[in-house]
Amino acid sequence: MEDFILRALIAALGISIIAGSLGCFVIWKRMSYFSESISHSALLGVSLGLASGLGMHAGLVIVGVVFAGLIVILQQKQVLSSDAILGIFSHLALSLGIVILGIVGGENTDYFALLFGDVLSISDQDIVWIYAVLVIVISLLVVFWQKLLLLTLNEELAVSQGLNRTFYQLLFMLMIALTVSISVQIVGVLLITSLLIIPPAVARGFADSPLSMVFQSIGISIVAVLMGLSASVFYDLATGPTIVIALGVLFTLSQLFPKRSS
Amino acid sequence: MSEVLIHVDQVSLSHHGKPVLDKVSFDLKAGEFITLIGPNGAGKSSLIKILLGLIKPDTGKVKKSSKIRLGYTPQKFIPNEFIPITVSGFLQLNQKTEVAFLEDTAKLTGIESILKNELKSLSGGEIQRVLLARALLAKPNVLILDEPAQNLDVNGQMHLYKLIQDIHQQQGCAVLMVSHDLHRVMKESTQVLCLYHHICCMGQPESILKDSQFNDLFADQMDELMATYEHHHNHCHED
Repeated sequence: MEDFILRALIAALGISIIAGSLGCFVIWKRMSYFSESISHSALLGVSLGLASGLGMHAGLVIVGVVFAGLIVILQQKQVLSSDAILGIFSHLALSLGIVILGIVGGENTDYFALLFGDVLSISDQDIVWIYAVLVIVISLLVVFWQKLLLLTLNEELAVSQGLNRTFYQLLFMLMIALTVSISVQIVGVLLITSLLIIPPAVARGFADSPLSMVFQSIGISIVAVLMGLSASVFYDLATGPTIVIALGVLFTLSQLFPKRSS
Repeated sequence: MSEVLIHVDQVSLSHHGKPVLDKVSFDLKAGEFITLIGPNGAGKSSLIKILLGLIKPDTGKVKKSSKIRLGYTPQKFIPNEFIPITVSGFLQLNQKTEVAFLEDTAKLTGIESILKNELKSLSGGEIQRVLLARALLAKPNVLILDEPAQNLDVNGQMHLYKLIQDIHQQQGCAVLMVSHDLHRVMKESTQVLCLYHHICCMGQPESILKDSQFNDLFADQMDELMATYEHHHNHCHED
């Protein structure tokens, strides 16, 4: 097997596990548009990371967290409805990213790869970063699982038991930003959200507990990402869209099976 | 003197320039049963949120005793339809519970037959009982109940009130219960607090029939459980 394919497979496996588990919380919290807005800030993260010399990954995480923080502050101030704020941020972030990347990125910037993913771009260093993020996100989810789930079910109950809402909100934003930072290269800025929401959307119909939904979601994510990645390599197709189509196929199939509960 | 568990001191809150709470002060002492009444929009739920630390008052303070163990049932609880969780899973979420204690509490609140059911499949009355069970599993010395009898028919209300009365008597925990019914409060109440942005009046419900009457826990008349609270406002509210 070619080196780049092996690297892509290892990277894709790590990303599937992270996105599949964190994605359950995105679905439960109805935050798919929120994660969409954060992932759209990724181009800005890439360009600022490159321009500042901090590197792409650091830029992605910092910009992601800052954007998430700004969105949460604006939502709390209730200046506009939540979806309008997310809409503004989502497109502003994408536009800023394109323009600034045009200034700092030089002539060889591959916009298509950033927007839709590119398997060829995965380096050994990227794999180290992906698995570092995997350890961080999965540890956080394991440690705070019960608290995050209770907050998702009912904030008032959780706060009455002494949980600090702001802390867990920040923690969740950090995890989303970390996930975005590792997913850009494989699926691309525009398609990260589908990696977060389609696997749990498939799992939801079959799971009988929150934990089983997470495990099923991870499994579905791994299958779809490997399917999409292989098709993309063998038929020379754009990586991100091919993975999303594989996810879409699994989602469509899942709708044909009888559900545990509706 | 019983110990003060929650001390509310001159709490004020406004929302979009309108006063919601105006210098509200009261104490909740160990073993007390306070019923908080007031019309819709009087600021009852805001006061509860301040007590729980969900929102901060503009001025004033809430001091909670370090010995406080809080059990709380929220006013609105809409189960998240995307989370596949059973009643039993919900009850044990973020609180360690021994199996025997869980079973006893389920029996007490009458939910033992629905423990394996999905949370999202419950009726309004079942949810109220599950919320009460969850609050009790925290082994509370203070129970804060925000309109626990909403969505229940008269029979269901009666059972729930009787249950709350039993819990107050047997476990001795202090209760702060919100009700939007201005005229009927539980006989069990040691204090009735009538709120309309400020505390309009506070006092004991009339004609509390003491201990002997409460021994009959299974009396099935609503009137046995409820007393009339007469209002003695010394001021008017102008629109």
